Amino acid sequence: MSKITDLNKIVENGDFENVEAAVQSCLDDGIEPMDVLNEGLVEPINQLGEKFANGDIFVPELLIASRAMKQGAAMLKPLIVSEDNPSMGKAVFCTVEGDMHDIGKNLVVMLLESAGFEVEDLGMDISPEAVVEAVQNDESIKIIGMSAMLTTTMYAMQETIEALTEAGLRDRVKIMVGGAPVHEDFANMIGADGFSTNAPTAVDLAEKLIAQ
Amino acid sequence: MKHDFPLKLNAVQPLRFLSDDQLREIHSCSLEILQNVGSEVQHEGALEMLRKAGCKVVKKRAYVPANLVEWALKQAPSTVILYDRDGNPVMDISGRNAYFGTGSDCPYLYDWDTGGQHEFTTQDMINGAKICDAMPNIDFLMCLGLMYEYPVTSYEHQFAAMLRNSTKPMVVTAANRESIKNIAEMMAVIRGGMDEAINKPLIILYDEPISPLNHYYESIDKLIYCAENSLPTNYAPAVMMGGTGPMTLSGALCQCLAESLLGLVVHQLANPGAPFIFGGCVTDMDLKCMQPSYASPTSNVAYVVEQEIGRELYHLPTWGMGGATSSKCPDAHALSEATQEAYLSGLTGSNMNHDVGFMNFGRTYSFELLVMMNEVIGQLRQVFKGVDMSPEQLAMDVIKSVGPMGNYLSETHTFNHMKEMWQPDLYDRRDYDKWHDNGATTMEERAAAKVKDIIANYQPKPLTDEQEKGIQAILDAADAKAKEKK
Ligand code: B12
Repeated sequence: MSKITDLNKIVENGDFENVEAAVQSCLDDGIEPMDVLNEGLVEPINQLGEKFANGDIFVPELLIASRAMKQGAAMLKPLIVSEDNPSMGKAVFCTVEGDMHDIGKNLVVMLLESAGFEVEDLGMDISPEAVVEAVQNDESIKIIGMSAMLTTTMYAMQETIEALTEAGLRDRVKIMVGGAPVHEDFANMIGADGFSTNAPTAVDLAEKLIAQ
Repeated sequence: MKHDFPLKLNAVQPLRFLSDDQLREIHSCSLEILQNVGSEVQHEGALEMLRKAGCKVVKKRAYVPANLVEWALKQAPSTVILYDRDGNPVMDISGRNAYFGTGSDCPYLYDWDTGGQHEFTTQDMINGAKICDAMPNIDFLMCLGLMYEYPVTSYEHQFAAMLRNSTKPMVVTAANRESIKNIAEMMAVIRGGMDEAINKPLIILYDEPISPLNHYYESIDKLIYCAENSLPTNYAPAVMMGGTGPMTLSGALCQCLAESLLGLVVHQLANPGAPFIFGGCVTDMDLKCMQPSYASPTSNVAYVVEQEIGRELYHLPTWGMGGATSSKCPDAHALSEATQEAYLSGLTGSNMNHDVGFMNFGRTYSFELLVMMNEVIGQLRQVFKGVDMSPEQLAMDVIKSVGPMGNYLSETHTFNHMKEMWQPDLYDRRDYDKWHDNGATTMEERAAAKVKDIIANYQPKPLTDEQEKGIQAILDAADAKAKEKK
């Protein structure tokens, strides 16, 4: 398995110049594409994710490794039949209407993507209608993530949930919320399915919600 | 009329990290960014002004030529005077005068009795304003927290709470043009008319773009409102190195400057000569916890260099940092970081030093840290005074009369000057036994007791009935409008 170990190192170092060659050399050795993906590319990301959650590494170390991982995974995609494809599910994310804080949301999105989720990022200052429309237009969306950093915009999350209910879409999706002024009682009060205070636990939460 | 504002840094060589040439190098990098990278400006009116002034505008991207920036720098005044609620001139924001005030809008307040935190409420705002009013070394107020009770009109209500409980000048935050207009109208109520409110400003608006190089509608719209009405405003980019700015300090400063200067250009185009406070907050993002670190060593250097540029190169009043921390409680970590920030700001002669009492990366406010920092700032002010070289202070007469082997304890000269020595309030300088027998308290405990005492007993000067009525009417109208919208 030393080819896989080599690939792990390359991903860990975020070495995107060499990742494709390393993936190719695994395939040339006859390793199954699925194993190259899981053991070669995803496994080091899982380990780095854990290290980041523990405060042992800096976030760019994880993000640059993820970039290399995605580049390698793109090569493997055509070789893996879709039912084997381990996409964790699709989510749509936004910062709510009136709010211009997007760094926390971006970070959650990046970590979800590294964990294998497909995420459509609507951006910031996003109206309830725009969220409803995004969900309506895409059957495969299972999770909605909303971020609010202001006491004055957090109620827009409630309005978005109400709009989804009115559009008859509430039961189709799980809703997770976060941001500086948001806390558990508030999340419960507005009828969200989950809340978390940071990006690594947001990934755990998304995995839990998808499994439900 | 010449007023005496005693808060100047008296030092021949204030703290400086960069030479004039180096300052100009950062400035010219920022000009290159403005001209060649461009700025995203989400405001049609501003884009139109920029286009007319000779900028290239492509969709919402504006490319500002250097000569327009140099023009704007020459228009803005180098001094802003702030007046207290009673109309007395109390702050001269210029030169190396260093003023200290709180920060704004924290979602939470630190709770001494539980060691936890709770959502910031209206009562907290009232208590906080009283504490600021009672603290001799807190020169201006920012609102400390955003009140959960008023999701739409929090800015108006926090301003009203400050007005009702303090006579000091204030820096306000506002959601949009409508809320800054409501606030300006409250100021007019205090002054008995808008003209007088403009002549004797009580407040500065705190305004900010979105780094990197993105100027959203509300921030530009508030900026233009202030320019049009000659109300002082800042435009403070919050560049987080590694997140919303380059990871390296001088690069982050170049970007921060480009963002500030775009604001200045729009502001001066809207009304040449309107008062503008220069400076932002460059801080490194802690890339493990992902929060802006505020008082890190790198941030502290950044704040100093921004002051150098603002004062030495631009001759503008400056905006700075005065006492924030990443700590979660008012402990040694908190006081160490907050003190370093305040010390450097004073030593470099930064004018408007805000965020005193900010903890937890600006998410949790602490009254205890505020009260401790009042003590620290008092102590620092004694440092900033420097050395008095008058004949009386040179003391040659008394040195001659006491001579070798004598002592000074019963000299009139000693008696005449002894109260110039700085006296602590919260530091305990009593001898060991007295300290021990009085409960062996820590500084934090004494600060907490002081906070409780002020909240229970301090009586701020009330508004007149007429002022109170006018303020309440504006609040009621704003609340009614907010309800209608819902
Ligand atoms: C950077 C910043 C800005 C930048 C934003 C730039 C950008 N592109 O995002 C700018 C300068 C534009 C800005 C503007 C304002 N800001 Co601001 N800002 C901040 C600051 C300093 C850092 C926020 C940040 O990015 N943190 C880093 C990220 C990684 O952390 P995070 O956002 O919390 O995200 C993490 C978690 O919350 C969670 N999470 C986040 N979203 C989600 C979503 C889901 C689904 C889940 C599960 C988890 C999750 O995971 C994330 C990753 O770990 C905070 C203070 C602070 N420390 O929070 C103030 C702060 C949020 N801002 C504040 C204020 C008041 C404002 C202004 C109103 C100021 C003004 N008067 O102009 C404007 C508002 C503009 C608007 N309409 O939105 C207040 C909010 C107060 C309140 N009670 O509401 C704060 C707390 C600071 C303060 N005390 O003043 N701000």
